[in-house]
Amino acid sequence: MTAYVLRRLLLLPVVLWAVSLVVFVLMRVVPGDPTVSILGEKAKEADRKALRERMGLDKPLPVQYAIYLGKLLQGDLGRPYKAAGDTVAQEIRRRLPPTIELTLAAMAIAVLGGLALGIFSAVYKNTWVDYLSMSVALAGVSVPIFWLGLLLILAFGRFLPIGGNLGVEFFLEPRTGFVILDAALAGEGEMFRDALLHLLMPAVALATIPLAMTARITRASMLEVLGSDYIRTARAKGAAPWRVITRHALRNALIPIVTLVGLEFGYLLGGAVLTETVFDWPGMGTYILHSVQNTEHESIGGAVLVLSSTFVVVNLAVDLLYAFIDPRVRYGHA
Amino acid sequence: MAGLGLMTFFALLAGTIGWASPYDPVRIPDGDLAALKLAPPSSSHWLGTDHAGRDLFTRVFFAARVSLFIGAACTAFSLVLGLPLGAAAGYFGGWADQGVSRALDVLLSFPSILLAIAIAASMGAGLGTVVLAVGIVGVPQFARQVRASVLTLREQDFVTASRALGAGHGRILFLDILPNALGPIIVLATLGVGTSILMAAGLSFIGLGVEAGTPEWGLMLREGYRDRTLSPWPALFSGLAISLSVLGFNLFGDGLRDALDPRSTEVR
Repeated sequence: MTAYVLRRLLLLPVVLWAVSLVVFVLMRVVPGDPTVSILGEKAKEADRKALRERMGLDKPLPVQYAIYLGKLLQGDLGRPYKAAGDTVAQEIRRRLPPTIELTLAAMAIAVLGGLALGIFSAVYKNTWVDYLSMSVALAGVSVPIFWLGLLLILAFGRFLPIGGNLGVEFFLEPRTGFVILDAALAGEGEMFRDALLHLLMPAVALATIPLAMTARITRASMLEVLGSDYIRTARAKGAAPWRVITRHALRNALIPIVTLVGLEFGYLLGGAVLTETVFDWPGMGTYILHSVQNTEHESIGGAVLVLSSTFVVVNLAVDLLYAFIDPRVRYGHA
Repeated sequence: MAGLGLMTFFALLAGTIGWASPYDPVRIPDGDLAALKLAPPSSSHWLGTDHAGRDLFTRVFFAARVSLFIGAACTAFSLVLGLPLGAAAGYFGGWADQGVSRALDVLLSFPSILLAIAIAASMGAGLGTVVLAVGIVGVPQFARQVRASVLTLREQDFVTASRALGAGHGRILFLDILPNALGPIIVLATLGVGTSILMAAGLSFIGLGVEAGTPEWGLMLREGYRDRTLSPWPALFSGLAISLSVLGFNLFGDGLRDALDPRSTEVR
């Protein structure tokens, strides 16, 4: 177990390095000369050359990458080409907490809702409960998240707040950057309620697809476990039906679901980009959107790098957790 | 069957809309734009009109051509790259397997839509970019599936027999192993078309998709989203078209999987 954990931990920097290399190639090499978008197409060649030198773009690519990597290690993600003011790292520091907040809320809805739907489907297999749950789950994986967001706005826009993560009438001193947590820490009940209401629609929209995936996997996993001998034994011994399901079956059925949750986290981080766009949520998604609109490759690269690194770390944590709860997974014994 | 029905419905309407509808999907109609634009569904415009006064029914089904083409092209791209990579990794093992698997791991380190956004943003919007971005994101899935199938099949007796008869690697791989691995690949490709349509629509929605003015579901949804307070219909119908077509591919893919995989029928 220790060797497995150590090996995975040692691999982490390698994976992160590879991610940084891909981002560098995509954002610095493929788009070509950034001086065109900074100075415009009519700028003089001499001005362009001077800017290229100042930005270090006249150096060979491996040298440029080494400089990029060196800055990354110091937490420097660069500066937007055109927009004055904050660096990419400062902007991301402000925008990452709202995205994590949205992702975690959606994750909670997806896991709890998906487990409930999947368990009911498995227990009431081939009844209308099962057909309805699985139809909802199948529809859930087929709907574009941004369309669902729009439907929610059209249906509930009159009752729930849209746009931002807190009403404009409130002023909140950021401590952690997580609005709900900050409102709770400040002891502001009204503000806490407003923040929760702002979170509700985006979180539900974002949760739909992972909820549907969780429900489908939970159903399949539960059906497999419910057919095993030890469940029959538990039932024969007179254990109450729901006790058999929650204590005996669900515990073993949870193993594949844990892996799925890790993968879903990545989906949620990506989906947050589209959801935030619909609900004007002030997180990484709207940052990426604005950067795309202004062709700010440094900002897009920084945001993609941070979100992907978060995904890598979460996946590692889930894999380790997986090995912890299921001894068969410690590789080599699988 | 429902999935096949939905797919046929979209394919048929997309194919015939050109001569079945009296309206042009792209050209802005003459006349008073203020009276024509964003009209609700009526007997003359079954799904209403868009912001430029064009008939939505015509545009939604004309856009099916573009969106279905994008879905199929992205999947074909993923397959053309993923199949040989996965086959080589599974068949030859060793360094080939290590190299391919680690490269796939790197691609899988990115949340898929983020990688697509990064690729599309670096290349600039356009139809080709969408196909490339969504296609690259789909490569690991195909490669992994093919690798897993080849790994199992290469140890089978019929492969050993073929090798004993003196067959070369190419013959064993392409004539003996891959035909037997086709089932799961076809399922994955069917599901992949739906996923690709969704992802391409996502790229269009944030402005990284096809050129403005092209009838494509994601772009139409983006325009409808912008006009949602004036009229909800353009966004509603273009989103519904995406959902139903993706549902069609998902249902069909699920059905295929059940038909091809005896274990899944047992579990159900």
